[in-house]
Amino acid sequence: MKKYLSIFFVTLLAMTALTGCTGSTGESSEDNTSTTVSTTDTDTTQTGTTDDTNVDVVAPTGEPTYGGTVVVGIQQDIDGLDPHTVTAAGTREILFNIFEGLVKNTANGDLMCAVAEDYSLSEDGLVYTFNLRQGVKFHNGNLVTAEDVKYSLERVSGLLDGTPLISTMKTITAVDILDEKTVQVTVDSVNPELIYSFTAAIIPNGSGEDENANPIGTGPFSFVSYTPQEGIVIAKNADYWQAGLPYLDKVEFKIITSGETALLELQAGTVQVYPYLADSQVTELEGKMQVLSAPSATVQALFLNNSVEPLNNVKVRQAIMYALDKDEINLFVAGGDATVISSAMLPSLESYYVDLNDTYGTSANVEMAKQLLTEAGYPDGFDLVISVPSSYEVHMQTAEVIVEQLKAVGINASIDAIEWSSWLSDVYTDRNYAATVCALTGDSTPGYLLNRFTSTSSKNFINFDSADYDEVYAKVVAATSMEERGIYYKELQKILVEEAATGFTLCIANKVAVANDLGGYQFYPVYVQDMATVYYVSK
Amino acid sequence: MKYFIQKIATLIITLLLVSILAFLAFQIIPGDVVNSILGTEATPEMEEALRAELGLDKPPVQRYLAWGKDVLRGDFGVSYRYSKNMNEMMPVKELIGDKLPVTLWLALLSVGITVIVAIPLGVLWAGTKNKFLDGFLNVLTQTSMAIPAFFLGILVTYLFGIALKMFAPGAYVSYKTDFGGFIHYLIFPAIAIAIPKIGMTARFLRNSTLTELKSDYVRTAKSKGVSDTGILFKHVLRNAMLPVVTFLGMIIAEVVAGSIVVEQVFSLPGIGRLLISSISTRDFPVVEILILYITFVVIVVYFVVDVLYRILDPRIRQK
Repeated sequence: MKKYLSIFFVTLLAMTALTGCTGSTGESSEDNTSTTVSTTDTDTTQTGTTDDTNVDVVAPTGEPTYGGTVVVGIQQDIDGLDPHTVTAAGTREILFNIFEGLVKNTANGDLMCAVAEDYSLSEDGLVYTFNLRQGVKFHNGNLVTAEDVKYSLERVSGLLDGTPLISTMKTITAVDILDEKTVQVTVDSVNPELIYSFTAAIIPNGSGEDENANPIGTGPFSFVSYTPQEGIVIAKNADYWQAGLPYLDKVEFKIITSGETALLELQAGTVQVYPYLADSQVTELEGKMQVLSAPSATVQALFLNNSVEPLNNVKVRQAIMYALDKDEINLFVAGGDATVISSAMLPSLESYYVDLNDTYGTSANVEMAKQLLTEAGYPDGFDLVISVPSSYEVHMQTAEVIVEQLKAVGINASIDAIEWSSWLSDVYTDRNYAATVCALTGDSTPGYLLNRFTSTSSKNFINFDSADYDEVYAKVVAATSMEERGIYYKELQKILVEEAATGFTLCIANKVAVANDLGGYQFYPVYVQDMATVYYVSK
Repeated sequence: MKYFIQKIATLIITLLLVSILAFLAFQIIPGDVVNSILGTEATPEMEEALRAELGLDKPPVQRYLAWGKDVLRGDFGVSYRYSKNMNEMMPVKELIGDKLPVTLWLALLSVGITVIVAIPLGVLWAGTKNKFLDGFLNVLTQTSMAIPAFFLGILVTYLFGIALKMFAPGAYVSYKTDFGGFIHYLIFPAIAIAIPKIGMTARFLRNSTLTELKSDYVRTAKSKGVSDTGILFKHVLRNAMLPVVTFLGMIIAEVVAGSIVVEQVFSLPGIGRLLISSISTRDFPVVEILILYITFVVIVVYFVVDVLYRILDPRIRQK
């Protein structure tokens, strides 16, 4: 009897332990009344959800003060410190604080002059003339010279050693120093979007080869230290050319790989800013700290491999488009805060975005889907394996919802959860898959997400092959103004939707937890964590 | 002497086999470091250039032999993934050398806590005639073993960090900057690691003590008039500790190899986390050395246990 009693107690304890666990993590998907303080002017597409129950959490109103340290939690380690060679979005968003180009991104998606004071473009669109800003200093105290600019641009364009580090810069044929404050760049073809590539960091002349070089840039913060798996520390650049910035003395980007740990550290106050919150974390933090929200620079999709049976049949792909209930996905994985999309363009790039959600509707149309499947010769559906990178919880959740939606129209879908590295090699590089759920990260260049769907692109991992698309894309390349390109970009988005190239689902909102005494946090339409404008408010 | 030579030969052969197996595993599993580094921005030219730069364009056997030669010379190579600054990759030696003290101190603290708590607890438990205490300890130790490490870590953080405010979760300080603060922070993850180990060790000790108490020599001692405590501490415990030593050896080998889950929960930059992230980014030079380190530790700890056995029990020595 005693033995049974103790087993009973053990089970009881274990059960309380388990319910305690789910209590602290889950129960979030139904709650879509999040208190979001919208701080960006680009989020017009977002449904503003304000909830009266949490009125005590508002953006701080006190005066900005100087000084202080902020710890920003980041989810993954950085992949390097060389601004020209790093590729991970998570690294570039940090290096934005250390390095600047001739121009730099602004929060509203435009460009502002940084190391350059102004620039002009020749009539034929082939010669850029940059006038350098006077008095811009590197973190080592030296003034930025035309030599440094020439070196940096030659390094990224491949003029230095034959390997272009930024592929769009390949087009540069010469960098000439006209005088000590003027640099002239000659390119071999007209590209109105090339100016966005001049955000490439300006680094001291020769520093790329210097054995003991530390990352030296001109940004609002200078590099202090980097420890693998712990994080990166940056400190205020007192000589920064933008008067009054930055506010903070020191920023630590700290790697926190577990979401649970991040929550604990936010609540304990050891971390002040934590971006890319999961929906469940938002629920947990509401009422305790500011949760800011803005559309992210990523487009999520159920990517379909256009060259495998039966997805090579456009009717089958269209049937899948009708089967998808994007509103349900939005509610389930993003608490209803994401923007439903249908093509490969960020809704925040308003001049180029076209809303095509009506083509297949944002909720499921089972009738149409079944009819198209019958027409395509699959009245009883087919088996479809969706390979999903398992480390991305949001994509896993999305895939789970999609599986059910596809089953409703007779497609027997299943999930194959794979590791990120396997995804990169099997799905992305070798294109050996049927379907996958993932997200593409946008860039400040408006056409960045569209160029990969040309039939010859090495990034075209869905094997999309449309002569129409290639033709319109050729017009994009030939177009010499952004207005003209915008027209073609809209056409490209339409072709992707009509051909049902892939099941674009959501532009998921980026939700950031920010300590209650911090102000000035800004969202960018690109992947950036700008710490220069962040400040502690006066008490 | 022959015994030692035998042991060392086993060690070398095992390390060799393990290194080959790890290398083979890296050839078989999908995904490679080039994909992992370049991500979705990769172009074929970039991939090729990086592959050549890392020497991955050479045939596998040649790569393994080159790597082995370097390791024998004491050169562990550089990480594919972690850079030291803008132009240099992080040497594996430096990378692991930085993390090792964290894991070793954590191991020392958690094993220390385990031994200090579990051994008196086990003896007390074996000796108790109180039915309630017996039942209570039974449930307590069962529970401590049943809770998943991840959840236990969070519980400890909540209790000591957020409720009692004895430490600030996430405010880990490096042993290089503030050793006292470092140890102070480590005590809490060490408790999280130690709790299930205490449960197991105490149960183990209790059971082996109870078995020993039934032996003939106990009856003999009793009939000679030795007191109960005398029997327990002078005779029984010495015998009962033997299996516990093996068990503690296993625990040490486990924690010295890095407590992956607890390191994650407490944001500790230790060996366990490094291993996980290096595997997922296919950072072969780091993974290979970490695996060799873990193998080495396990073999050495077992060897030490073996020697201890001989000291504790003369019967084994004579065999």
